[in-house]
Amino acid sequence: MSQKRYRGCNEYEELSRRGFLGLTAKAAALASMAPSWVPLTKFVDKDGRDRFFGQTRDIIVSVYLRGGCDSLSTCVPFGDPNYYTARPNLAIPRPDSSSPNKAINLNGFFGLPPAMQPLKSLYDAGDLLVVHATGSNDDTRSHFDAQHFMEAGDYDKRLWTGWLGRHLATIGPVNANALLRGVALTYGMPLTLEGAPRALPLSNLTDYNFGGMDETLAARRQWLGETYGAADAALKVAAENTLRTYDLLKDLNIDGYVPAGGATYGDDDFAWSMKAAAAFIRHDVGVEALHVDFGGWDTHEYEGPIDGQMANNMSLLANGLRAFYTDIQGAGYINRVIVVVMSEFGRVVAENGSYGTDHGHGGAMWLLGGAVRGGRVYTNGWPGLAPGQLWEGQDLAITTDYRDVLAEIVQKRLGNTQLSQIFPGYAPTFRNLVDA
Amino acid sequence: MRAAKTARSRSKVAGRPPEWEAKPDAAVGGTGEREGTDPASGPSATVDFRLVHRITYGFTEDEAELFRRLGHRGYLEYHLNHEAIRDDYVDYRLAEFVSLNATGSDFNNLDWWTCVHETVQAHVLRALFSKRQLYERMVEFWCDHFNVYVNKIGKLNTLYQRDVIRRHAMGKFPDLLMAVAKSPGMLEYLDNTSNVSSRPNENYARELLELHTLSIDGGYPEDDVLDVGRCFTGWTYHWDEAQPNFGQFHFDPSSHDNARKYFLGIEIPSNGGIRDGERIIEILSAHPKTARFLAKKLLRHFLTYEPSEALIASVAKTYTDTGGDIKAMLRTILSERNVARYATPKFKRPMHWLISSLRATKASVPFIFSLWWGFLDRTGNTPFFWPAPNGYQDREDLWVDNIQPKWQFAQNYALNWVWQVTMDTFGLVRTRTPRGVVNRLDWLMFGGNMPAAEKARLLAYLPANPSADQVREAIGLALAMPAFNRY
Repeated sequence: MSQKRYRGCNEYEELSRRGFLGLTAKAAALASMAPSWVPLTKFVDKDGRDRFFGQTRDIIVSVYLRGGCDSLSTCVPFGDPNYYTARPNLAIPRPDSSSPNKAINLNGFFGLPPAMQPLKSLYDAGDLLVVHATGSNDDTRSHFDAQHFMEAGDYDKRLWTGWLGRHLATIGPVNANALLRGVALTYGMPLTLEGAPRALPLSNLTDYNFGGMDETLAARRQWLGETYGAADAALKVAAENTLRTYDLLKDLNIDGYVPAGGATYGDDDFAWSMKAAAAFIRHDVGVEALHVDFGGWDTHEYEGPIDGQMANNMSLLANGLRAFYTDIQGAGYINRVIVVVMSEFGRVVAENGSYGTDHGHGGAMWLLGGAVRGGRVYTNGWPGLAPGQLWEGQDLAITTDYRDVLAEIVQKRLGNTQLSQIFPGYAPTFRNLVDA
Repeated sequence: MRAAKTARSRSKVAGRPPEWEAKPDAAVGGTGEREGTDPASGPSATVDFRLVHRITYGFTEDEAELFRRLGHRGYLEYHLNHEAIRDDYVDYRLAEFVSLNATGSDFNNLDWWTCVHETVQAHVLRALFSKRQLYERMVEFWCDHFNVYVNKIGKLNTLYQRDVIRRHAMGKFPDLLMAVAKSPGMLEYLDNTSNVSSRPNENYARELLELHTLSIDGGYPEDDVLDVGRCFTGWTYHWDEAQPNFGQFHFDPSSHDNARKYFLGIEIPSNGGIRDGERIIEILSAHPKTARFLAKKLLRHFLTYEPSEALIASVAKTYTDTGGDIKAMLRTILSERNVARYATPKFKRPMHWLISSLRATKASVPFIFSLWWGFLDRTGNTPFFWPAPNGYQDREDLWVDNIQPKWQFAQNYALNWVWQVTMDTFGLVRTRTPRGVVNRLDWLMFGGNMPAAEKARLLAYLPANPSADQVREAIGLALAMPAFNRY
C-alpha cells in the first residue's frame, strides 16, 4: 500500500504564502456535516457574565503553525546526542559550546535556538511552557489530513467542526451581548473555529468596510441600513449584524492601537495578527476565542535554523509572542489569557539531502499565559532520538496526545466540562499544565 | 442612435466579449431606456424572465433577447444543445492557459500553482462569459455534487474538471458516476488510493452512497458501506508525472479484495476483480433512491428550495425512463408550467452574486484575480476550495450573513476601483437622469422586475441632476440592494 503518494509539498508552500489555508468554509455549512450531537445553545444570562465562571474564564488565542513545524529546532534537545548524529548540518550547537549560534539553555536538556531568545524571559517568569514529543497520533504525513484531524479534535474525516468551535458551541457566552465570540484573524474560517456561534474570519480589520468614497459613506450606510431594514428578516438581521460589526471594528481602531507595557510589534503578518488579538482582548467586547495562522514551516529544503528561513520564522514567532505577552501583561490581562501554539506534525529527525527535513510525527506545543505552569519543558518522558526509539524508524514519538493539552485548557481555563463533545471518544489525561 | 451604437462598439475594451453588445436590429431592452430620452414611463410590458434567471449565472440583455425570440421551449432547447452554441470569446480567453489541455507527462513541466489557478480562472471566466450558461450551471451543480478539494488533489483537478465533470455534465448520470469513480481526482480526494485489501479505507464508499447516489436516507446498513469499500480496493491511478500514463485510472489486482461481498442484499461473487466496483456503480445508477435524490437536488438547484413530492417523483421518473439522461431531467424540471408555478426566489451564493453583478453590468474583466482574492476568498466560495465532500451548500441560511463583502465590492466596482474589473458606466446606463438610470438598472439587473419599493429607494438616492460619481454610486447600491441577493 505504501505507493508513493503523488501529493508533493511545494504546492503547500504556494498556498500558505497566499494565505489560502483554512480558507473557504462557512461555519454552519461545514457544521452540517457534524454529528447531530453538536447542540444549539441558547443561554440567558442576567448579568451578562457567565454565572459559573464569570471573569475567571480565560480568553484563548490559538496559534497554528501551518506546514509542520520542526520542533527539534524550536525546542532543541541538546541533551540527546542522537540529535547531533541525525542532523550534522542542521543541529543547533550545545549551550556549552563555543559557537556563537549555540542554544540557550532552558533546563539542562532542552534549549531555545538563538532566534527564539526573546522567549527566554517568559520562560524564566514561569509563564511559558513547552510540551515536547506531543502531537496527533494518526499516521498520516499529509498536511491536509493532519491539520484536519488536529483542528477537528478527532480522527474523523467527516467531522467538519473544530475543537474550539465546539467549545464555544457548548458553553454560554461570557458576555451575552457579545456580537462576536470567536474571531479568526485569517482569510476564511479555519476548521479549528468551525461550528462556533457568533464567529467571523477577519483577514484584515481595516478592510471590513463598505467601499466607495468617504464623503458619501454616511449616506450610503443609511441607505443600506434602511433598505435592508425593510427587507425580509434574514437579510435585515444580516445587515444589522454587518453594521454592528463595522462599528465594533471602527471602535477597536486597530490602526491607532497603542500596546501596553511598552510592547512593540513587528510589521510582519504574525505580529499584526497578535496585535489584533491583543486589541480584541483589551477592548473587552466579549470575544472569547481568537485564532491566528502562521504559515511557512514546511522546510524540506535549506531549512536554516541558524540563519535561514527557519530562523527567520522562529524569530517572528518569538517576537510576536513576546510583544503580545508584554502588551497583555502590561494591560493587566495576563491571568485571563492563554495562548496555545501548535502544528500538524514535527519533522523527520534525520535531515534530508537538501539541508531540510521531511514530514515527521511528534512535535511541540507551546503554552503562554499567567495560569500556565511554565518555566519547564514537559515531555512525559522523553522518547529519545536513537534509531530504535523513533516512531516508524524515523520520527520523534508522541508521549502526550495533543488532546490532553487542549482538553486541560478547555476544562480548567475555559470552564467547559463537556469534553466528550469537544474531543469525542477520547478520555484525556490532564498533565497539570495549567492552574485549575 | 445609430451613431451612438457605432461609438459604443468602437469603445470595446479588452476583456469584454463582443457578445455583450446588443444586436442593433433587436428590440432589446426595449422597455423605455432609449438613448437620449428620459424613459420616465419605465418598462411598458413585463416579461416573465424567470427561466433566464434560473438557467444562467445572471440576467443579461443578450439572454433576454434570445428568450424573447425563441420562447420558453426554444430557449431551453437552445441551451440544452450547448455544443451547438459558439463560444468564441471564452475560447479566446482560455487560450492563454497552458495547463487546461495537458495530459500525461505534460504535467511534469507544469507547476502545481499554474494548474490550480488556471482551473479556477477558467471556471470563473466561463461562468462569467460563456454563452453556454445552462451547461456552466450544470458544471457548477456537479462540482458540488462530486466535490473535490484542489488543495488536496492539485494537478489532478485539471483532469477531473476537463475529462470527468465537463465531459459528462449534460450527458448520462451513470456515465458520469463511473467516470468519477475512476477519476484520479476523486480517488485521491477520498483516499481510495490507500484502499487495499490488507487495509481497507471506506472513505470513498461512504460518500459514494451518502453523497453521490442513495443519500443519507438510503437505508443501507453499515455493513454495506464496508463491503462497498472492499469492492473498490485496488482502484487507484498512475501517479508518476514523468510517465505518459500519469493521471490514468489503474486497477491493481494484487491489492483487490476478491472475497465475496454483499450490497443491498445482492451478492457480489468472489474473484470479480475490477467488476466488483463497476457492479456497485451500476447498481447505484439504477437504484430508485439515486433517481429520487438527484431529482430533488436538481429541482433545488434550478427551481425551488422545497420541491413537492409530485415534482420529485416526476423528475425521478424521467431519470428512470431515460437511464439517467441529464438533459431529459432538465426538460422535465424546467418546463414552462413548472417555472411558472414553482420558480420561487433562491438565494445567490457569493460566486453567483458576483457573476450576476458583472454580467448585468457588462463588466470588462481582463484578469480575475481581484475577484478571487478580493471577493471569492473572503466569502468562502472560491471554486474547488471547499474542503468537505458535501460541496458548497445550496441553502440560503448558510450564506445570507456575509453581506459586507458584497456591499464593499459593489461600490468599489461601480466606481471602477477594482483592479482589472471595469464597468463602462455611461455606455451601460446611457443616461444621467435619475429615473433613466434607475429604469435602466431595473432592466439590466432584473429584466424589469426590480421590486417597486427598492426601486423607489434607489431613485431617492439620486438628486435631480446627479454627478457622474453619484450615478456610479447608485449603480453600486443597486448591485448591493436586497432583491439582488436572490434570483
